[in-house]
Amino acid sequence: MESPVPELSTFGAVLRFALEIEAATAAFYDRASKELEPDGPAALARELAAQHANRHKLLERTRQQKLNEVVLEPITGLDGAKYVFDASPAPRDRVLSRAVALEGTAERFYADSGTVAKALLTEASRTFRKLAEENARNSARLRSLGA
Amino acid sequence: MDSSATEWLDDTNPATGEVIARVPLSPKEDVDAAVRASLEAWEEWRETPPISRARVFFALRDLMEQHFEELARIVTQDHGKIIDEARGEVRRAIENVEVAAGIPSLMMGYTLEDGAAAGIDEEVLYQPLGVFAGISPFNFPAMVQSWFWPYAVATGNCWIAKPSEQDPIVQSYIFDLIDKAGFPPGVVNMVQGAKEAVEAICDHADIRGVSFVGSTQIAKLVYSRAAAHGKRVQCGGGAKNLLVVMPDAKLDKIVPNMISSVYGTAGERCLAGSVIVGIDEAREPVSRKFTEHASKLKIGYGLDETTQMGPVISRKHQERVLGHIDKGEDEGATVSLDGRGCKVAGYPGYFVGPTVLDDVTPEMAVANEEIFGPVASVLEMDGLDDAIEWINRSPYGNAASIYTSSGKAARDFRYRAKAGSIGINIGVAAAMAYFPFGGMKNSFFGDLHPQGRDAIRFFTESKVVITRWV
Repeated sequence: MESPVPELSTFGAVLRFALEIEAATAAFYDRASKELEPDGPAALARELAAQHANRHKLLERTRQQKLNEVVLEPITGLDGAKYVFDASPAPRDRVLSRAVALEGTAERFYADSGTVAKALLTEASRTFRKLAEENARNSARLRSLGA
Repeated sequence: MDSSATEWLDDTNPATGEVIARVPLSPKEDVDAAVRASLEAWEEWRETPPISRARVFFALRDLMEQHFEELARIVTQDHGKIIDEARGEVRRAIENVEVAAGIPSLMMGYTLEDGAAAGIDEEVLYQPLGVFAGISPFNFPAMVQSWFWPYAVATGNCWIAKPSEQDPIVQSYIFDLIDKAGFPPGVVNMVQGAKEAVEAICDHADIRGVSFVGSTQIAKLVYSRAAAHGKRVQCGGGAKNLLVVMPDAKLDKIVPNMISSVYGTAGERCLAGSVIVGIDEAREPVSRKFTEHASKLKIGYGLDETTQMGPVISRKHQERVLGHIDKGEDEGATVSLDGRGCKVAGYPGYFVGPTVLDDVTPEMAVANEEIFGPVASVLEMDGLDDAIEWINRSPYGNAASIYTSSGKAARDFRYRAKAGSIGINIGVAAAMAYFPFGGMKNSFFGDLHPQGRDAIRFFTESKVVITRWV
């Protein structure tokens, strides 16, 4: 089931969506880790569940500590329709492909947000860019397992 | 202890119009009681070593971080500003606590061997004075008290806070955290209320100094009344801030910043841009692009993360802002974006939509009077010199900003403009906690500003010691 189209009009709205996608992705991997083969994909799913839970904490800190009213401007240029994601449970044979799709959506979202945030908050932009890079690495690892 | 008030005010959520609290109107007796508590606590607190005082601030800082989101949500519900702005405000309040926690370094005096003569050393010490009080406005209910009290208390004084009667809830919440952090009883106190409490603070013989932020009219009254009673006083007043746009400004990059300056906190900010001055050929494109951006702002309840501007504080203030728009139109301004009649489905509160008054001339009231609402007045001037001269003629001097790609223009502006906070391609030049929060002319009465090193000096007395061992 796909997520609603987010309205990304403020820094807080962007961060809220980021928190939603991280929470949903962590839950997705957590479920997947219990369904996949214990030795290969399940271990990676466990690792990625923990990684996305940590990213959620990082984003909470970003929302709390990196906001500065000097550059608190309305956000424009992020089309929420591009970042709709599906983190619902998948049949076992489609778990990895759904995971790749999730990582790809998140990568796109963070890369675009990093560009928009660059004009507002350099520190937040740097965080978004690193998260996008991590998503790309995750996708590559999932593909190497046959996704 | 509880207030002895017999009169109470309703405190409303400005978005919903619902009464969310009742505020006691503290009488003089409440101020007296707070002063007594402060005086009882003061000797022991001033003898507490600065590093021990700092540790209590570290504990408070941790508590404020833990309760960050609750504090921000309370600000939004009681004041009306959007949640991002509330988070920014709480962030700045925490920053001030963090800076005050550095008191062992900030409060150090200095010594010069043989400073008086050979064999005679000279040193200066900074010492607390006793009891201070702070009266803060409605527009930053969490932040403005923190411009003062952490420095007052970290330097060894005691404090009496009097938050705005229009949105005092977040200060009550912060005071719960202050208690939990371990400040001894009587060191930090709060009274509620309005005129009677303010007058009692100004007049009380045992209060050594007063910090205030509010309108220029009240700032002048507090300054003169408290000073007449021998107190140190620092009073921030009103503002009418210009955003000067040069022809070489990069409009696509700066207009969102101007929008944030004018409409952030629904314009209820002493640093808000209020007059947009397009220099020469900049006027037409900046007016057009600014109006286009402003017309797209999403107005609503601040707890909805997608909302970009919330309501103003009260029905009375809403009517005042609308009155200014009417007056501008009557004087001949073109209302190119009209925020009158703004309605938000499901929220019957005090909304005024983003408004742009174009073709404004320098003699119009809307170009000169503080509106404190989401209203931009746009006018054209011939050259930067005219804009700087106008800024310098204004009775206000809180902030002024220039948008330009020219280092020369920026340097001229910074050098010559008589305003306490200067923005260069920044429309909200809000000093961080470790810098003084500026203000000149009728925007500030006093000598030392809130925050940073100025605050340390305001809350301490310097004492010189000259020593000869014989």
